[in-house]
Amino acid sequence: MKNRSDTVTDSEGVSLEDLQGPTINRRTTVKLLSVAGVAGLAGCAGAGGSNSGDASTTGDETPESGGSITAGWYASGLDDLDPHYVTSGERFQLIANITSGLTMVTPEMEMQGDLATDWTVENGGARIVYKLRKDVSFHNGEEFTADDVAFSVRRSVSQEAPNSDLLSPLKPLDEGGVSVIDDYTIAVEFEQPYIPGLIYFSREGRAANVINQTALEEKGREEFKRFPVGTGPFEVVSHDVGEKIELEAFDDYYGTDENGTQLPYLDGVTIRAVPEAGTIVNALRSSDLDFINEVPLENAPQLKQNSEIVTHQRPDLNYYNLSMNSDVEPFTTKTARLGFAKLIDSERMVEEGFFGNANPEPTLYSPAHEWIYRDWEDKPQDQAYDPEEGQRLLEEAGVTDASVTLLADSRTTRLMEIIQRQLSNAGLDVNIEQVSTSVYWDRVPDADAVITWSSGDYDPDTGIYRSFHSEGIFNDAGYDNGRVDELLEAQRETTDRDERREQLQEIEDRVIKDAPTAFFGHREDVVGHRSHVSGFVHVPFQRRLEYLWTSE
Amino acid sequence: MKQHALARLGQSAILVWLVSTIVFFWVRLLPGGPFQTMFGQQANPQVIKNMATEFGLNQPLYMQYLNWMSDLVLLDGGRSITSGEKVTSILLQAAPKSISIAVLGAVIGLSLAFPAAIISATHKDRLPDIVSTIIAYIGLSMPGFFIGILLALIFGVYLGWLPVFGYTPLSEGVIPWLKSVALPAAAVGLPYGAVVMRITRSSLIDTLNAPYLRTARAKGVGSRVRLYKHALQNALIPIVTIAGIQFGIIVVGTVTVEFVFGINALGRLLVESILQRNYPVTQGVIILIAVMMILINIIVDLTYTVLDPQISYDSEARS
Repeated sequence: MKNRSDTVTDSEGVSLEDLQGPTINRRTTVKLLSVAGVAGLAGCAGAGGSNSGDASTTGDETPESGGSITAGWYASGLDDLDPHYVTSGERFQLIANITSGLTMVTPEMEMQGDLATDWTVENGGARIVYKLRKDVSFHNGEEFTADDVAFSVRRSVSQEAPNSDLLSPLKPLDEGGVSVIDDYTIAVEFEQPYIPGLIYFSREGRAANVINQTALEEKGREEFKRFPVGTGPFEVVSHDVGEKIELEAFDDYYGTDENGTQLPYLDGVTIRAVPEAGTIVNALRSSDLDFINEVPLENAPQLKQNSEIVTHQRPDLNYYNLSMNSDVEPFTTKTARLGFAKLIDSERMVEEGFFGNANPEPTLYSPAHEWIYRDWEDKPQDQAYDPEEGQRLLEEAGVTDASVTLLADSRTTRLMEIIQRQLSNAGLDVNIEQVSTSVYWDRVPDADAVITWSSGDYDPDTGIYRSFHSEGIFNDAGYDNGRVDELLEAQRETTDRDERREQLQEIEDRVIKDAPTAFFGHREDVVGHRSHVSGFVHVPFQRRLEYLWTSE
Repeated sequence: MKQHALARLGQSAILVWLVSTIVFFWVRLLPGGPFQTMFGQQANPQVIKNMATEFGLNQPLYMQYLNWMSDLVLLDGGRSITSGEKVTSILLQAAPKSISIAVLGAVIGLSLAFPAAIISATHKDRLPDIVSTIIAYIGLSMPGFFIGILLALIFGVYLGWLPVFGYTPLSEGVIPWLKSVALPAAAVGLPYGAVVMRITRSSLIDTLNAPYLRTARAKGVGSRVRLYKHALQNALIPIVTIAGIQFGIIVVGTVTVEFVFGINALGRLLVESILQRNYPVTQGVIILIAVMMILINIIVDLTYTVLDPQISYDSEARS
């Protein structure tokens, strides 16, 4: 019997009652995602942004089962597919096709059970009890039970796996953070009410994806990295590291579409890792690839003009910025940092660095975070491009003759060169030190300035807490503002949507004004496929292959 | 001959040991480490500790070296830090790709170089020579990856005849294999052919002007016999030397071409493993490269004895 009496209502009517399983409808999901920061996704799923009228997402055609496609992944290597250890977005996009979560966000933007059939939210949002499916097998044939969920959560937390910080709101594991009630019932409990927790236990949540303990123990982590065993729609049948991964439809996958047709539609997908932009684009144009997970921005116009290729483009959930180390000269004062920020022309950064495929506002939140996004005019203009004012601020700070060395690796060199040019044009002595990625991370803490960006995390907390909390692991700028720390901690526990929005917007205002970083835009997400491939729904970060089908 | 072979074998073993020892310590002297490269700022101390234990990197350096050497004797190069796969398996997957590209590239290069060089040498300073020389210089001045991009656009994108990326193993059929390596092989083979053509041309011109060939001509020996039997055979020694060294280079030095065609062969594997500080893979690739270069040199040396009977590694024959 569900405890439905324990109801907390936010100002827009999302109550614990609404959050109970087995399915949270689109309206509530949108609100829930709003709490978690992804309202922009809900608003745009299945809409616009395609060069073909988005025929693949209209649902007018009946999906055909069978066939296989070759999908290119714009990455140098897809060697480690252990979900708890993956730190790059493109690899997790792939893994979400192999492993499952307890819940999932459907293409129709409904929060529905994945491995869970139903759930209850209790104790004001501090405890979630999940009822699990009984008909689920792992790829190795072993039956799925609640112990597998507990094992996966415990493994991630106890090994302090790279994504385990996403589970930090949980209570300690030996104090009820995760508890198996019976074979098909499991409870998770947070220190404080934490409504977005539903998102973190979803398939897209990274840290709690369910893996098979027996397979891990039998294979060892070395082999498990290449052949992860989950309950997702595809299983890995071969893995030629750095070259290709063969995914085969998992016959016992529990997922079906709305008509009851077994998912995935495709019999198989060959994933090819392609690290070179020109190659992945040529391969799509020549039909060697049917789908690519990311269109290199410099090639987006070329593909949009090709009638045999469908591209999907929409705002992503990120922000790009130049993080200035406040512990070293000339960035020790706010006046100097703001001076540098005002010398960076974000419009030109977008044109030259992102080939026009980005939003140029020098702000924290992307338009994709619709529920907290404000029009440019409603936000502080402190970092708006104004070279004269920038020069004046630098003179006021006494740093006009300062020498700055920008640290870059292969991923950021191009953007750094544009910044270098803009700052040099203002008469500053700016150098770039390019190092390999293996050295880069050692050098970041002492660097004058580095380019950083947030990935497409559904909740803005994931990107901002790590970067702007004084103890955040990505706080390269050494930013330390007591009020911002307080707000960052408070917003994690705030279930009231309006209150959380105000907290998040105040964080944005303060970060823009304090200028620990100079913001210069929000990159857009572009995906492409051949016209015979259908079924793709563009939700940033997700690359769900189970809905794809081919007419060939 | 037997003594020579044994001596070469001994020298080779010492050379491989030296290379492996140098590379073992060299990769560890490089700044940065594998775990921060893998996990970036999310590489917390617990993760680093777990991974270091998993790969034995928490042991003293001399212990790591002794363990690695004792495994290496048994042809066990350890496991890749990033993928967990055995280094020997990785090399067995990558080496056939490199060898396929290099062998087919050499065939393409040589089949263009020799006829062009012969025409050029026998028509010195005339139109065929000038045309051949210009083409050779174009081949020399265009990097392989640039040729690769052009070929991919023409034969892959516009004509659709050949795949623009990826490798199909020979086990899946000769035609699919040939199609998958044709473009990268041409990309490395054309500059290779240009080098060989220039060397062959100059070597052949020198030989054609040698006194013994003038004598042969005076004695009425036909031009074909003079060219193919006498001149070309004698001109081949410097050609074989250069062709052999260049072949060794294209086996492992085609990294840019491998990137263009999305093929994870030895060159790309080496570059990525160094960038990732994936010590076991870097060590394995460099040792394999050393072994291959030694083998190529031995084959070149043995070829000398076939081309020129005066060259012998038999000490008795020399005495």
